[in-house]
Amino acid sequence: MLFYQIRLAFKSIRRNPVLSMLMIGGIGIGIGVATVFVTAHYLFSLNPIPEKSDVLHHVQMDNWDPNRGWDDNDPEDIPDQVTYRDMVNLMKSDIPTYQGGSFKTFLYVYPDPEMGRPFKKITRMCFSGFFKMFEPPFQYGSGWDLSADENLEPVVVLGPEVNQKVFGGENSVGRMIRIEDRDFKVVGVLDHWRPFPKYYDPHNGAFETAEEVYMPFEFFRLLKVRSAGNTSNWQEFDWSDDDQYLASEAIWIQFWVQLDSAPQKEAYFSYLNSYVEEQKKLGRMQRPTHNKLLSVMEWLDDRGAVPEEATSLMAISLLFLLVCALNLIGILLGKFLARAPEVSVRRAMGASRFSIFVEHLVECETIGVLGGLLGIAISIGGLEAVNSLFDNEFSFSLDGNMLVVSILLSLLAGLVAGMYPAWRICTIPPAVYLRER
Amino acid sequence: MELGPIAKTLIRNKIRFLLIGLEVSLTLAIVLNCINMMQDLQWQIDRPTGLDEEGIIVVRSRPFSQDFREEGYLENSRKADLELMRNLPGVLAADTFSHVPLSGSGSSSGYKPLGAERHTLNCNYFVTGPSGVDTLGVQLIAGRNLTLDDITEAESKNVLITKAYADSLFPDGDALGKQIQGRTAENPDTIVGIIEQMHGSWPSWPFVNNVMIRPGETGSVNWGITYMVRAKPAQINGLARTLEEELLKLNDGRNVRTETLAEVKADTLGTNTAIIKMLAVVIVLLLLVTALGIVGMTSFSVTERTHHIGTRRALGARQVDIMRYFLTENWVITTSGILVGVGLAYTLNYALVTFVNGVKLEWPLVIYGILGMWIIGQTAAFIPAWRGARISPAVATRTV
Repeated sequence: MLFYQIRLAFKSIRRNPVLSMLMIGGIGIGIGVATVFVTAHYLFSLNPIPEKSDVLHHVQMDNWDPNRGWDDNDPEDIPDQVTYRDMVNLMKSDIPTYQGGSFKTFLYVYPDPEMGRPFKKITRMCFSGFFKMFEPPFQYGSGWDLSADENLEPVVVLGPEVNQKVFGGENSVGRMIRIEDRDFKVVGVLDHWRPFPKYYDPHNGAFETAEEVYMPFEFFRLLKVRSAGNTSNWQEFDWSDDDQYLASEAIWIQFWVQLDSAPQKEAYFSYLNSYVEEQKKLGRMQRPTHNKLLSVMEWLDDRGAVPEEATSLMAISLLFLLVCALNLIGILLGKFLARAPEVSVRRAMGASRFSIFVEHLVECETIGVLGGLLGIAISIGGLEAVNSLFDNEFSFSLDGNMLVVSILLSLLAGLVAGMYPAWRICTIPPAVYLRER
Repeated sequence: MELGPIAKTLIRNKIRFLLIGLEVSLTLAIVLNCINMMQDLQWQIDRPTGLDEEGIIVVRSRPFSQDFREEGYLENSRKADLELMRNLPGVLAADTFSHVPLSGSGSSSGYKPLGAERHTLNCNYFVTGPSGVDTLGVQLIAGRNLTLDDITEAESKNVLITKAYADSLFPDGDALGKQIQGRTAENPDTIVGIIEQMHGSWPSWPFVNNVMIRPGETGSVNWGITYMVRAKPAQINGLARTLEEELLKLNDGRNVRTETLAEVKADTLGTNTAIIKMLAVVIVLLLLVTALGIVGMTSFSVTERTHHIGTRRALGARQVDIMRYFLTENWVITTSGILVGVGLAYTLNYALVTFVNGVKLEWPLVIYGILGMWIIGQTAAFIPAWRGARISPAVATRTV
């Protein structure tokens, strides 16, 4: 029966090709535009590490100026990174399964002169826990061991780009690489990795690429490098003096812990609280105690990972779809009512209201779905266009979920647009139109 | 006028006309808010920054040779680079800078008048030498420029600040010569000059006009040295290549990268440009859909009333009268839609301002929107109305 009605619908669509094209095109554009911006918004709010987002936790505490909070406009807000001394102290805990602070900088990599000139690359100074927590995919080898952190062994993990540039993309595990004024041994090479958003360090744009060089944190002293990310500070001291800098309240480290169970998390949170109490006794952290232990999604939410522009554009695109649906209602109404004489004859010959209603609704849904298919095609092109507008800085594309969403949108649009016209045509009084004939 | 018959028609077909009216109102509301957003984004790109955007080349020297770690090597390299740059033909001024304005990367700090009992006010500071002001192309409106003597080891410095920052620190307008402090009163700075206008590093920062210029020589082995060079805009392109080549010839133990300040700005504001383009496409598509909707609706009205048109024509109505009838009908619907639409536009704007940091909708834009919507409505209705008017009375009155 449904199959028959769909055939009828196609027949009706073919009978008036121009009008049908207008209808399908109109609703198709609406669904296409809505899909593009719903997808963009959805990709911004996607969980970057679904398997572990509940166990990874970002650590924050309020070490700011006793006289003036971190954010004048929001007293609830606290510093979003930690100091060096707090990281060192906190890492003495054995509660977390894995833990570690890290920061971003830029270092010179010196390839064999025959391979090319030295080049600067985005680098992460981190602990062995970084690889255990965030699980970047390895092409060759693996991260380093805890002992490499403790003994400050000169080891590095390279990203695919640096491995390509320096070693021609070969398995370089075990080989040596010159970075700044030191030689490091390659222990691992990452595969392509693009956490989106860059949740473990979103401070300089959530869409920044992952680092291409990773080395044990404490090398920052030997290489005399500082963070190339955000550093915030409220005290005055001599920045050029390393000892003063490291003992200061300046925050520049992103500190994460992996807590696998609720009791573990509770234990760590009370450890954090007692640590802050201890620091208060030493005269630090004089603001009200406010510690944060946020899971990945809580942390992203706290920072507002979805740009406001993406939200505005999504709202606008959904209103656009509503206009297209209104437009479709108008055209369908006209089209169906023009068919009143024919429907009257069929009603007079015994067709039930219900069957007329269903028949017309099926026609609307058919138009909706055809529009949806067109819309998907439009949105694929649209997302490509959006990507090129952003210099392919990120690559938006449709995934399974978004395909389902656009099909549902098209069914919904067909239903919303079809209900009233189908109801109108099935309730016309046949006698009026039959008499006119 | 045919307002009577039109009103009757509208009432009889109320749903269909209601739909078009609603479509017009939603379209107006969306388009007005989109244009409003576009204007704000464009304004961030177009507004004057006080800087000579078209005439500045940013030069980044990133040393990799270990020689740079030797005592005094970096300083000598800086001196040699500056001398070379300043002597190149076409160069008006050149100096080192701690950060590049409009680049998205910079340093901020807070200051207040010395001894004042209040919170400090944010500003974005740049460290540069005596040629910094000329290199940026900003105008000094009071006091003096920085000199070599201002570059001292002392923590207290002689500084220049923008008029905007001066006015917020000293509302009485007497900032020149005053001392300012950070969180503590140790090492206060002295304001020796006021700059008319200059934008800092972050174009969308609310305090973008609060800028301070501090004297100093910048550069380090790790981050390298950042220079800016000012020249006549016509010479910029050739000069960038020359600078790269000459600087590498001078010292090959580093990488040298150049870009114009205009490129730096375009890069920082790239998102704005992208969003403007997306909004433009959305607006065009939306107006297209709505215009087609109006064409469709008027066509139905015409088809439905073929008989009626014929009768009127037979009784002496001219083609113009028929057209006027349909255009008036369209005008009544569009105008009702517009009235509702203006209300919707302000509602939507209120939501955008409240929830996502939008900008307020100004009434002149609304007036333009109303005029535009009228024109679109009448244009879209014109073709079907004209087709209706051309129906000959003989055909129209013939029984089907």
